[in-house]
Amino acid sequence: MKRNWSIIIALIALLIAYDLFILRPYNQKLAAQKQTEKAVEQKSDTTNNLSAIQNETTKAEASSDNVSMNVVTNEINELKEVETLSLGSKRQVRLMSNGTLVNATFNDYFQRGTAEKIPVEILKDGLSWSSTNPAVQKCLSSLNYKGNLTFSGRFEGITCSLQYQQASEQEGVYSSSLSLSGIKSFEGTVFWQQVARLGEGNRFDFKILDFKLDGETDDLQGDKVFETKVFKGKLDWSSWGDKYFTTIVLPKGKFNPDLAVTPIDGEAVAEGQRRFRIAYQYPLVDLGEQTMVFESDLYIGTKDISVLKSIRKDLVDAVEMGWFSAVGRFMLWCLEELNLLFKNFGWSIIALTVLVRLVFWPLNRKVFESGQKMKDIQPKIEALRKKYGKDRAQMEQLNREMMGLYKTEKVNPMGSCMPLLLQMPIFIGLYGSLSNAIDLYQAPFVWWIEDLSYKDPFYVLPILWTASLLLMMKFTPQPTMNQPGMPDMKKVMFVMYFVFGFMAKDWPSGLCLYLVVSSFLGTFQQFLFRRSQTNLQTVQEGA
Amino acid sequence: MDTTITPAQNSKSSYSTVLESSFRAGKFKQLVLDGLHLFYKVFVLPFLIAISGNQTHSCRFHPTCSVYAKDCMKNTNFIFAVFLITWRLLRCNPLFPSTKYFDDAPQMRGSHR
Repeated sequence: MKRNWSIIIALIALLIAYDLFILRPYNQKLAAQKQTEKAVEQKSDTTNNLSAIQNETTKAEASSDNVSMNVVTNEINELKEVETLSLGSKRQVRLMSNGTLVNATFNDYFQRGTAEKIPVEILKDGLSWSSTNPAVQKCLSSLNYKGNLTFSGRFEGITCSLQYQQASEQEGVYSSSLSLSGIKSFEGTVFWQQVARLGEGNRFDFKILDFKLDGETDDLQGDKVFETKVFKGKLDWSSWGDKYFTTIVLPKGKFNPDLAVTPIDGEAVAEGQRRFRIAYQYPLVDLGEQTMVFESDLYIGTKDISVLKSIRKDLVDAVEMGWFSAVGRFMLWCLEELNLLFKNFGWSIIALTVLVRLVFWPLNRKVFESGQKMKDIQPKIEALRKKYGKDRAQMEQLNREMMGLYKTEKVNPMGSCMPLLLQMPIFIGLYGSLSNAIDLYQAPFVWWIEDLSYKDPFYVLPILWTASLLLMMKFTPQPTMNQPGMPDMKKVMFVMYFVFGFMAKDWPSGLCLYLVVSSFLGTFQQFLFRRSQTNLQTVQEGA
Repeated sequence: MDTTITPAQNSKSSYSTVLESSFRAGKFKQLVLDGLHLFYKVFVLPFLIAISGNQTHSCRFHPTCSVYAKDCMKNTNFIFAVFLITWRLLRCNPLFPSTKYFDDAPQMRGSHR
C-alpha cells in the first residue's frame, strides 16, 4: 500500500512541478510582453502617430533582446491616417494614405488577463499592397488618397488605383479592388500582404491560418511556420486570427492568388515573439491593353458563426471547436437558445446541465437499482462461479443458471456504462464551444465570474468541483470494482479528484460551472435513491 | 515451461507487483497491457466518473470491460480484439437482450499458453 501512495504523491509532485517550472515562466514572459505593448499603446494614444508605435516597439524589443522588428513595415512609418472605416457600431479600422489598412479596434471587446479595459486590436502591422516588380512597386508606393475610399498613383506610364467599398449589409465586410495598367515588364508578382504576429494573448489563444484551397479546408498553426510555404490552387478564402477575432480574405474576380506564408524573424527569435507575412500573390500577366483588376472581399471582425454564415456558408470551418466539433456546435446552439430565455450565459449553462441530468435521470436510476440488486445477490453469483469454475465448456450452463437467478431474485439487468460514456462527448463538446465561441467571450455570470470562457480568477469553481466530488464519494456506497492486482479504487479516486481539480484550474469557468452543478445533481439523485432504499428496507423489516 | 502469472490475490499486494512480475518474466506484451490497464484504472475511469457525476455504475457483464479488453488483446490478434471490445461496449446497454452475465474473453487456438 505504501508503494501506491508513493506513486500517487510523485504524480502530484510532477503536476505541481509542471505548473511551476513550465507554465509559469511562459505566462510571465507573455505578461512582460503585454506590458511593453501596453506602454506603447498608451504613447500612441497621445501622439496618434504610427511611427511612434514602430520606434517604441523596436526599442522595447531590442531592450528585451528579442531581435529585429524593423523589416517589413518600413514604409508605414511615413504614413498618415486619411480615413476611418467603420466595422460596426463600436469597431473601426484606420485607412492610411497609401491604402494600407491598420489597427482594427474592437471597442466592444476587451483584452484578457488585464484588469484595465483595453480594447482588442488586430491587424497591428497593416494589410497593404506591394510588388516584387520595381516599377509596379514604385507606382504602388505613390498611391494617394483621392477621397471616397479611392487611391490612385502613377509612375512612368503605369497607373494604379485602389478602391475600397462597403460590400454588403453585413458590417465589417468591404470589397477591395486594385487595378493596374500600362505595365511594360511583366516580371514578378503583385501581392496583398499582412504581417501576422504570434504570441499575443495567453497560450490558449494560439493563432491559426485557416484556408480553403481547391475545395478543401486546411489550417496552419502560426507557431509551426519556420520556412516559406506557398499554397497554389483555387483559393476560396483564408482567415488569419485567433479563436475570436479574424481577418478573412475572399478572393474573387478573374485572378486567383497563391497563398504564401513567410517567416520574417527566422528561428532565432524567442517563443511568442515571432512574426511572419501572409501574402496573396498575383503573378503579373500580359493582357495587352486591358487593365488588370485584382478583386477580393475582406471581412474584419469576430468569429461569430451566424455572421460568418451570412457572408459565406463554408466560413463556419474557420471556427475551431476542438474535437467533436459537431457536438460543440450543437451545445452552443442549445446554449444560445436557452440564453434567449435567461439572458445570462451562466444561468443558461446551469439550465443546460439540469436538462442533461434530467435526460439521464431514468437511466441513472435504473443503473442504481440494478447495481444495488446485483450487490445484494453477489454471494450467490460467487457461489455459482465457484460451482462451475473457469471451464469455458460449462459457460452456457452457468449463464443459464445466472438468468434463472435473475428471475428468482427479480433483478432487472439494467447495468450499463452508457451514463458514464455518453457524458464524454458532452464534456468535450462543451469544452470546445465554451473555450472557442465568441458569444461567451467575456460573458459574465454572478459575483466574481466575469468571463465564462476564461479560467476562474480565484479558482473557486475548481475547488468546489473537487469538494462536490468528495461529497459525492461520501454518499456513494463502496464501489464493487476493485480487482485483484489493481489499486484500491476508492483511494485512487480520492487522490485523483484533487488532481482533476488541479487540472480544472485552467479550464473555462463555464465548464467548471457545468461540472459542479452536474456532480451536485448526481449526488442529489444518489441521496434520493439511497433514502428511498432505506425506506423500502424499513417497510420490509416492519412487515 | 510454466510462465503463468498469478495475479496477486490478497488485498495487501499492490498493482506494481503485477507489473514487476511481468517484467521479470520478460513478458513485455503483458507488461504493456497491464500498464495500459493501470493507466485506465488510475486516470481514465476516475476522470469519466468525475465528469459524469455518477459514482455508481453497475456492470452488465463479468469480468468488467477493461479486463475483458486486456484478455482479448492477450488471447487474440489486435484487429479481432478491437472488434470484440467494440461489440461488447455496444452490448452494454439496457436495450440489448440479456442472455449472459459471464462473458470471458475467447481463447484463440494456437495462442493458448
